[in-house]
Amino acid sequence: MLRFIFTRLTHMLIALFVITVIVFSLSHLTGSPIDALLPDDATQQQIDSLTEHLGLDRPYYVQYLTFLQNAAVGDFGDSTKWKGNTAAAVVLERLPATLKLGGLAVLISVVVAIPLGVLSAIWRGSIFDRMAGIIALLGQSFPAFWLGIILMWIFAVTLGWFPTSGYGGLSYMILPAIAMAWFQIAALTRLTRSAMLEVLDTEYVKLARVKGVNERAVIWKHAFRNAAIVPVTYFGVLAGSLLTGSVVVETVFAWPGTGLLAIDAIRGRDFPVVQSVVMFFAVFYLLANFLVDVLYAVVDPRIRFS
Amino acid sequence: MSASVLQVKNLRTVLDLSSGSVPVVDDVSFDVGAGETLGIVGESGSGKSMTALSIMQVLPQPIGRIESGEILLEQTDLVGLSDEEIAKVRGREIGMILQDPHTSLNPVFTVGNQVIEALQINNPGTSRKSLFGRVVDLLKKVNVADAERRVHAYPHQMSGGMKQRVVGAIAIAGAPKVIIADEPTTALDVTIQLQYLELLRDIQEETGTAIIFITHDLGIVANLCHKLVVMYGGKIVESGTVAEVFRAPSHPYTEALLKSVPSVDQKVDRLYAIEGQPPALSADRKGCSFAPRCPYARDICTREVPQQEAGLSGGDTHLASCWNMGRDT
Repeated sequence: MLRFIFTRLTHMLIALFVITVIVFSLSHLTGSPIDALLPDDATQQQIDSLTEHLGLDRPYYVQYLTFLQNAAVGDFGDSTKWKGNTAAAVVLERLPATLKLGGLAVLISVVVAIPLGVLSAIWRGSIFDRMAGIIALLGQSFPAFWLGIILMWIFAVTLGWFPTSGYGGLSYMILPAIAMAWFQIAALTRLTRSAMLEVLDTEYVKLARVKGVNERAVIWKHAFRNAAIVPVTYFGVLAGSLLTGSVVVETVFAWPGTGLLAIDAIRGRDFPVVQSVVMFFAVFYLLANFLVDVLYAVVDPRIRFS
Repeated sequence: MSASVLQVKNLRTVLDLSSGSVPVVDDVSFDVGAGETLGIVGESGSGKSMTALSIMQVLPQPIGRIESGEILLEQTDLVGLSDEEIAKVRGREIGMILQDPHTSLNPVFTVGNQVIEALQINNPGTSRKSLFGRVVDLLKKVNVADAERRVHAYPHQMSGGMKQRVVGAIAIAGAPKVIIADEPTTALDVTIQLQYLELLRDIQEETGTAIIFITHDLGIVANLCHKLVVMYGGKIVESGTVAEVFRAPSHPYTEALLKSVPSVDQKVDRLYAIEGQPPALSADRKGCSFAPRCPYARDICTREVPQQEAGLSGGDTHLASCWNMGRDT
């Protein structure tokens, strides 16, 4: 088990290294930051002195190592848009909002999709199964931004049940969370359904039945415990896509999280902040997948003991 | 032998396929008494496993259902019982051993856990802890070496033979009156097979349980069973005591099956095989389903279904369904 975790940690570090290279390269691919920092009529002397001050005249690998060294302590430089703040501080300030919204969206996805998937597997071919299939199909067809606007129009503008947008308590979070969750509900329902169908067909489920286990325990204990590995796998993807989804949905609902921050930072060519956001998203994604790997081992003893 | 513990009467099980209702068990009747072992013999697709699944009522859903017939456990008809009622019969009254030990234990629970579960079902209200000692006893009873330690093992940490012993322990946990063993040794090594059969025999001697042993291996039947039914295309084509059927096989299919058993004393170039394929599932069948593969087939065989008649051995219980019996061969 310890070896398993150690291996996964090593993989995570390798992935992190690759990500830092990409993030570093990106900032150089989009043109010189000098052009963004200085006005158009800057003199050559000003350009040279800023280039030297920022260390942009040094070889790329030295720049990269400096970047890595600073990144290791969470230092991505100062924000150029939100003056007087470090980029990391700007991101950290917005983080709770994104985590709250993303957390609610994950919760909604899991609470809705798992029972929906399991029940439609048990009652396959029934009206319930078909309805769940339609919900899934719709979810996978609606783009999140469109769904967000439609939800806002129906439930906030027309019915007035929820505020249209902005930052606040639960009532502010429900519509954006649903807009983010629906696509995930669709994917997760389908995965859970097919995993359950496969497991319900196995010999060990048959043996559980013939030994007299009642149907509820057959499904939730014997079958679901085995089928769970599929939704657990998807959880890694889920966590990641809720962050990327947050970019769109936070913009639609003016929710002041890291997604909206990323858009603002890109518009303002605030590279340190963009870099911090990307690095943060990447680390979060890696951590989520590491958690998934550990969960695998918890769910399946064959992984734990190999 | 005492009165029947389990009696199956005119059982007919169908699968509702898109092509129509296809009978997979057709007018099957047999009975088995306490301490008695009945062999059900046939090729893959002959309906022997479907018969077992019908008795347990774990037919493939939603397509499988019992259309008619009775399954009498002592005096109670199991056909038509509610889901809750039949769940109480499973494990407690009738235990079952499945074919492949590698897939029939749940990979995410320890074997001890899975045996405890079976014990708990049969002793509701008892704590897991108090049953722990009995799990070890059960595992010892089915000859699992080092049972105290193995209780905590997961299925993937055990060999096929060991796993099948655990499945056996689960089957006897509820002290059932009948054990259905569906090809329990097919997936095991030959040496382990023999040990396993001896184990079943020991369990039977100790508990007096009735055993229904499903197999395609007539060698095992000769060794283990008191009587047998031979199934083909969902029907029983021949039945009787082991002595009757082996002395005078009366259906060409039984004869062919017996010929297919390789003999140790005789050297042959080619092993005998029955020509052709078992019949495909179809809704409309005419005549004897073995006719297309039968070397003695006549006109009438493809037109009309043969009735059960006394077998060639002349024994009281020997029955076979063949148009040619005693007339031609």
